[in-house]
Amino acid sequence: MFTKDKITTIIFYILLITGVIISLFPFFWMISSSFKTLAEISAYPPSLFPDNIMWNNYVDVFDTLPYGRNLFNSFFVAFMYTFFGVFISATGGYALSKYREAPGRRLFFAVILSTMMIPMQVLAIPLYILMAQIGWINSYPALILPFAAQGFGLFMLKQYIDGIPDDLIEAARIDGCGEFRIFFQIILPVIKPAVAALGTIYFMNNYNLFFWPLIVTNKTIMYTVPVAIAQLQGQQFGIPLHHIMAAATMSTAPLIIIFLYFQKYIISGITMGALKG
Amino acid sequence: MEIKNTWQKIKDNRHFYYFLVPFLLFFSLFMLFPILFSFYMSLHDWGGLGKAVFIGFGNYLDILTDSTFHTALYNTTFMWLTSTPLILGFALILAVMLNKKEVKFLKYFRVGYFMPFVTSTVVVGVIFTILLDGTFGLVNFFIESIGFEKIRFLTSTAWSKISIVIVLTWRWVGYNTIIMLAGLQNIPEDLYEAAEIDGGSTLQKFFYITVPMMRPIILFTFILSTIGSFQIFTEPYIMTGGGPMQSSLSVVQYLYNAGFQQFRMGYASALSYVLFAIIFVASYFQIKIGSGEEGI
Repeated sequence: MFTKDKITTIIFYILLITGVIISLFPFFWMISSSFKTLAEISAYPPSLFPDNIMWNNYVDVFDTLPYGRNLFNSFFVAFMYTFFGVFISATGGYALSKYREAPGRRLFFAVILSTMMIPMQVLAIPLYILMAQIGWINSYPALILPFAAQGFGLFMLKQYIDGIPDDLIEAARIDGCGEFRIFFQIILPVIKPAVAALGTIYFMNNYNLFFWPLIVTNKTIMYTVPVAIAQLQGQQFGIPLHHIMAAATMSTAPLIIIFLYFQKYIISGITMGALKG
Repeated sequence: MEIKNTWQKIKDNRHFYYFLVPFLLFFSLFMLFPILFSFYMSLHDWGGLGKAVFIGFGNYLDILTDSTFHTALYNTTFMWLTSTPLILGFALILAVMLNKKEVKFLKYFRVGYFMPFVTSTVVVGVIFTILLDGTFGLVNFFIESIGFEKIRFLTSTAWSKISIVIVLTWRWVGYNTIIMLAGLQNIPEDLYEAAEIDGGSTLQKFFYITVPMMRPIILFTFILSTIGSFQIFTEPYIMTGGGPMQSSLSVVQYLYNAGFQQFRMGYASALSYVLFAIIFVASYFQIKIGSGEEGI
């Protein structure tokens, strides 16, 4: 017979699997709908699978939108943002961690930390005006640079660098290694896991960002994917749901692949904050 | 002598400044400056073009009596207070189940639960727009097939906020599960063993060991949820447009409308500051209450 413990385990499995199904079902619905005709999506009762596989939806999106350009924008911006944001967080975190004698260090750190909780929405209005003044509306720098200096990223990498023994750096100095070489050849390789974690989080966040690109772009060719999809959804008449679903599937698939590949880092990055905080 | 000493210290540590300058430059330009400039603007009546007129705290006084803002604040608070317990409750239960030794395939469960968080909010919004549709939505198909009337999830004032809460819950449970699971894995095993020797039941172990040990993590997730709730924008923007009749208008969408539809930049700046103050106060009280007797 089953023991009480075994029954508990089985109940747990049933509940957990139900949870996973609820979690993943909307993705199935997105993919299934992306192969339906517009009429079939809005038919009642709904069909689980498409009657005919409409590969055309995936081709037609590129007529409805400059979707190739939108995808490029999203990838390019997210990549540049990640590279740049992580790099300045690493150098800044290193400075704050290992030059403890430097005058002003505490003040800089306190000011940066105190802004960690400020949401992007609070900054959107003045940043928009700034972008308009310097002529950066509809430009890549406006999509990439404004949120690159994040207190959160600097703090995370500083915490990690704190764990590197000073002796390692001192030894390199005695051997005549310059300060910049120490950073690039000793520190950077050691903090690789933290850089990967932060990098994946930055990439995901930026790739999915909606509020800021919505504000700072108004030409379709400069839209990132979320703004492009939102624009289709916002049409007054004849919302092309089949194209929206194809576009959504195409934009989600690469991110899921990246997530599956880097999931170890994402999870460590997210839990790092919780356990130390 | 003192000045000379400091100068010498700066010179010796010049690399500190070299390394910090890139971050500091962007931080000052795109973080500090906007924060200060935003406050300056909030004291003005300014339409974006033309001259700004100084009106002191006039915008803030207007906010106090702005009924649309009150509606937006009520909606946002409603979404915060209903979604947060749901999200954290489900997350804790899932995490406890995943933490049971006999439960295998942890890696796969984790990926499954995490997927909604990886996806962009806009994509989530468009998927749920068709799932919750009032005439052809799949959810309504289920509701009708178990014998109830269809629900106009997105187009009725009674349900629009609840629809947003459903989506928020779906999206954020997995993320919080992962955090809570990491917390559970940090609880020393001997605590449970000691309780078992003393004959503690599963429920007793949960309420007398798990919950108290998890308090810092629960507080952390609670604060994250609070901060996140007051930034809600995309879900209502995509799914309901804030409607019908402003029933799902969030504070951030109101801010967006004031700034980028009506171009009342001064007023929108004041709204930004109010939003920040709300987030700040809410998190402050949570830390105060949450840390309780120990007084961290």
